Amino acid sequence: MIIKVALKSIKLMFKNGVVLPLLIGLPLSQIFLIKKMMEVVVPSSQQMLHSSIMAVVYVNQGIENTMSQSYAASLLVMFILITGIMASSFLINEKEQKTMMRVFSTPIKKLEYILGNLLGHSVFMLCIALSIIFITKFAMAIDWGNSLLWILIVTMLVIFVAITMGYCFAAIFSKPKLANGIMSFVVVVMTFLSGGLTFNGAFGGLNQFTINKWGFEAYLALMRGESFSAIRLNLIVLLALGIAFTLIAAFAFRRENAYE
Amino acid sequence: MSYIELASVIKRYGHAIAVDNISLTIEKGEIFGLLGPNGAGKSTTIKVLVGLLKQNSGDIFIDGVDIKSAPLETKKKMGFVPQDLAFYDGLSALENISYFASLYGVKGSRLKELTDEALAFTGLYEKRREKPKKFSGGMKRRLNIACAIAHQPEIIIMDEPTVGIDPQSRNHILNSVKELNHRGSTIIYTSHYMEEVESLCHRVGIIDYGKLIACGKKEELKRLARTEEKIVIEMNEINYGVLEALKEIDGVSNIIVEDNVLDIMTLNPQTKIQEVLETLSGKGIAVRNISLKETDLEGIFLELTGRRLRD
Ligand SMILES: Nc1ncnc2c1ncn2[C@@H]1O[C@H](COP(=O)(O)OP(=O)(O)OP(=O)(O)O)[C@@H](O)[C@H]1O
Ligand SMILES: [Mg+2]
Repeated sequence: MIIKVALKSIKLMFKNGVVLPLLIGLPLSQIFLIKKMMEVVVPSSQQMLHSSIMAVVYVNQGIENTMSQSYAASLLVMFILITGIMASSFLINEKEQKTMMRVFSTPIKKLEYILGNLLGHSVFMLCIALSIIFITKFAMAIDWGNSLLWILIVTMLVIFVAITMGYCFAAIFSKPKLANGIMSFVVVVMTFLSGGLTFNGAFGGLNQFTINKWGFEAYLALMRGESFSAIRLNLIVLLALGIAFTLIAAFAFRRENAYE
Repeated sequence: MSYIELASVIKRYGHAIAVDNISLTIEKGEIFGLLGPNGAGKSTTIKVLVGLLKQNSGDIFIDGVDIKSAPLETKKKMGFVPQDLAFYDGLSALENISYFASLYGVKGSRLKELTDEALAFTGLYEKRREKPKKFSGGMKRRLNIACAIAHQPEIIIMDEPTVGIDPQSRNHILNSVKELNHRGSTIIYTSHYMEEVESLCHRVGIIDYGKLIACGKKEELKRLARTEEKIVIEMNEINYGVLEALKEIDGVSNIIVEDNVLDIMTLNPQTKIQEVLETLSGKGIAVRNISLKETDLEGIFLELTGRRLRD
């Protein structure tokens, strides 16, 4: 049963024409652009560009490489969060289209159904994330370090957090547009506060409260070839966040008419 | 014990009571109609029955099994056609039907066979690979039904399956319902169209403000009405002064006006025709046609509640 539901949710994701190009194409083209921009900026740093980028460029010669590395890591985390939004909007769509109501009238347990979707969406998100990692590695020379296993573990944890956060929203909201709007806002604000894309500091520690920070720091550490101990705290924080979101979502989905 | 049994079922939304102490029984092989105006509590009753909502009190048994103690077992026996269209826009007709049937545990070649059968039965086989987005209203309604019947349930529960479609599609659906019943399914059919319920159902429950106000065979219900016939008058035009005058006539209980047709419920209609005609001509109204007709469920609803089934 769970597998059947998972397969269906993957199918729906793939059948939706905009999801794939958006989720893989966009981050790839952004990373590509940033890399190109760096190549231009570094030889002629007088050029008027993003002031914060310039600042970094002056301070640290030859940072071009690290810059695009951080961008790649930060964008990856952001896009995993965005896929989480997509996954949850598919679930909210099921409420709006009343298919969730129909499903709950069939002999399948609510838990089985949610887990099936969770499984399908996670697998889909993993495919997206791994595609981004592999393509940037081989086509754009982004160095993701040499521990594929740890990259995989960090990626799975970020996905876990992203999707359970999405499901919290899916459990509470009935209108995909509203939920999407709020979640996108949350992700954009978090990405900004995390400093991962802007490099203008930690906002007086506010970055501690973003999912992005804990995710991309872990990637950066792995990129630099650091060991597990360097990212232990990141892993713990991500895991704790994921578990917290799971509990909230589980509680919200227990409502009698959670299908509405 | 009856095949389906609702015993003193109560369902509230917050403080509002939507199903008010309903008890009824349905026998195997019946087409049971649940008739009531908008907001009467039909959908809520059905949702409790299919396990989408939990009743606040009362018990429901399906084939002797309590839906609270073994919900998966009772759900497996049923196929639910929701009032609102409920399928995936992103999946084809075939994929939709196959997916929902698979949730009832149908697998493999059997799944394919039953899916094709449901497609053929609802006349969607030619369109099976198309997405429902492109379907007409009638086709969407048929797909909505197909998704609920592919697993060949013993009990098919349809919540207003014909709302908002053309007469041709409606007839197609009504005939399908009869055919499903012939093939052995027990059917619960909700509607606020009394013609549908009258032509389709063996037994009818009339529900209003969450209460079951009458229940039985059509003939039994008709006996509830004080009169078995009504006077039907067609006119060229109508004026409302005349309605007041007609209501003054001794024995007249209710008058329904629709376009230029008056339905007059009265005791002893045969003896009142003369008086009615005199009243009309006194008001200068030309009568095109006058007849006596058997009271229908609409008339019964009116007598029982003093209101019309539809506005
Ligand atoms: N989710 C809900 N929350 C609160 N009240 C509700 C809810 N659903 C229905 N109601 C109320 O319960 C009552 C019964 O509604 P129900 O949908 O069962 O009626 P119905 O007979 O199916 O009407 P219709 O012909 O319009 O479908 C109505 O007064 C309605 O406003
Ligand atoms: Mg209804």
